[in-house]
Amino acid sequence: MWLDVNPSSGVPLYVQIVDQIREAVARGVLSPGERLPSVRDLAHQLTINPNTAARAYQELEKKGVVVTRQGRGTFVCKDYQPRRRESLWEGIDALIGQLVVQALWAQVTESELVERVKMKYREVKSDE
Amino acid sequence: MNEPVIEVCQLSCVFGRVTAVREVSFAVPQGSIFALVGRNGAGKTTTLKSLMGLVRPASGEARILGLDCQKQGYRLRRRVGYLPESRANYAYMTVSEVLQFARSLHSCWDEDWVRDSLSEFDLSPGKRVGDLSAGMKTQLGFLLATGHRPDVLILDEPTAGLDPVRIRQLLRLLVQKTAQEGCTILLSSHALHHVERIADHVAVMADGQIETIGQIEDLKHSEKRIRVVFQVDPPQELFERDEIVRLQRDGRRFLVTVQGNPERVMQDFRRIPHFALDLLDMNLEEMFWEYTGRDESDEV
Repeated sequence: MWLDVNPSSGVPLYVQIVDQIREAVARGVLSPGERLPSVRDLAHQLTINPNTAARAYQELEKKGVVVTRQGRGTFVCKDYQPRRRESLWEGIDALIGQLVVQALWAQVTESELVERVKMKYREVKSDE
Repeated sequence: MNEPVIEVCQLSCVFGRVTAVREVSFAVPQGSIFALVGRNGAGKTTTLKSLMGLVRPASGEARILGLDCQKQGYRLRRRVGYLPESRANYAYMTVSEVLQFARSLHSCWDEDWVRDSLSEFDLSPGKRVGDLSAGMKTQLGFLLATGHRPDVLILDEPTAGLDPVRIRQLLRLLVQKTAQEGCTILLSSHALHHVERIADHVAVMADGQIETIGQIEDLKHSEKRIRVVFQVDPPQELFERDEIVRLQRDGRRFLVTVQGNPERVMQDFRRIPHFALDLLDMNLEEMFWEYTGRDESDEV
C-alpha cells in the first residue's frame, strides 16, 4: 500500500489520508473509476481506527474525489478535476505577504518593489 | 449518534488523605477506542479499577452497558474483558493451564481466537507464567481479557513491556476487535504515541483530574503553535489576547500556543517585520506536555 500515515504528526490522520489520496489522483497513481480499499481494510492496513478511515472517505466524497456506491465500495470519481493551481498559490501568497511587510517597513515604494520582483524573475528564469 | 457504552459521572476515589481521582466524568461511545492518557500516578489505574468494581469510589457513579459497576460486577464480567495493571497472577501455572482455568470461568470461550492469537504471539503453552517476560505476560493478560468475546474491553497499559513489533501487532488486533466485532475499548497509556494511531477519543489525566477530553482529530485542530522570529522587538500588547494560552520567548524568537482560530493572531504578527512566521500543527505529544506540566522555563 502506498499510503503512509504518521500518527505523531500534528496533522490529523484523516487529513493525511485525504491529502495523500488527492495527490495520488492528481499524479495519476490512482486512475478514475479505480476502486479503493474498504474502510475496514484500510483501517487494518494502516492500523488506524476504523472511524478515522471512514472520516477520510467522507471528506474525500465531500470534495468530490471519490464516490461510494452502496454495497459495492468506494471508487475514484470519473470526472474529478484536481485544482492544482489553487494549492500552488497558497504557498506563494504567504511569501508575497511577508515580502510586502518587509518592503513597507523599509519604505520601499510599490513600483520599486514590483520592478525588483520582475528583475529577479527574469534573472532566475535565465539561469534555468 | 451512538449511545455511550461506558459512562463515568463525577467519580471520586479517596485513599486515606489522598484523592486519587477527583470528579472525573467521561463517556465512551459504542465501537470507539478511548484512550486515557497521563503520567504515572495521574489516576488512570484507579479509574479503570473502579469501573471493574475493584475500588469503591467515595462519590459518583460508573456504568458499563447500563450496568452499575459497583453493584452488578458479576453480570458485568460476562460482557467486559479486563487487563489489570498487575500481570503477576498464577506464576506457578503454565500458559495453557491459565487459559484452561479462565475458560472454565466463562460459559462462552472463543477457542479459535485464543489459539490463533497464541501462535501469533509466539507464546509457548507449556511455559510457566512466572518465567514469561513482561511483554509475554501482557500478551497472556490480553488473551485472558478477550477469550470470552466481550463487548467491552478495559485495558490497563496494554502496550507495557512490548517491543515495537509487538505493539503494532496488538494495535492491529484491537482495530480488528472494533472493526469486525463492534467491540468498545477503553485503554490507558502513559505512552501517547503508542495509542494515538488507533484511538478516536482521548482524555488527558493529571493529578486525578481530566485536563482535556475530546475526539483526537478535533483536539489536534483545537490548538496550534505559531513560531515567529521578529526583526524588531514586538510591542508587549501583541501577546495580550485570550487566544494565546502559552508564550515561550528566546530573544526575538517566539513560540506561541493558540487555542481556537489562530488566523487573527497570525494577521497581527504579519504586520510586524519578521524573518519567519509559521503556523505549526501541534501533535498530541506536545499537547500532552502542555497539560501535564512541563518545566515553565522551557525555551524555544
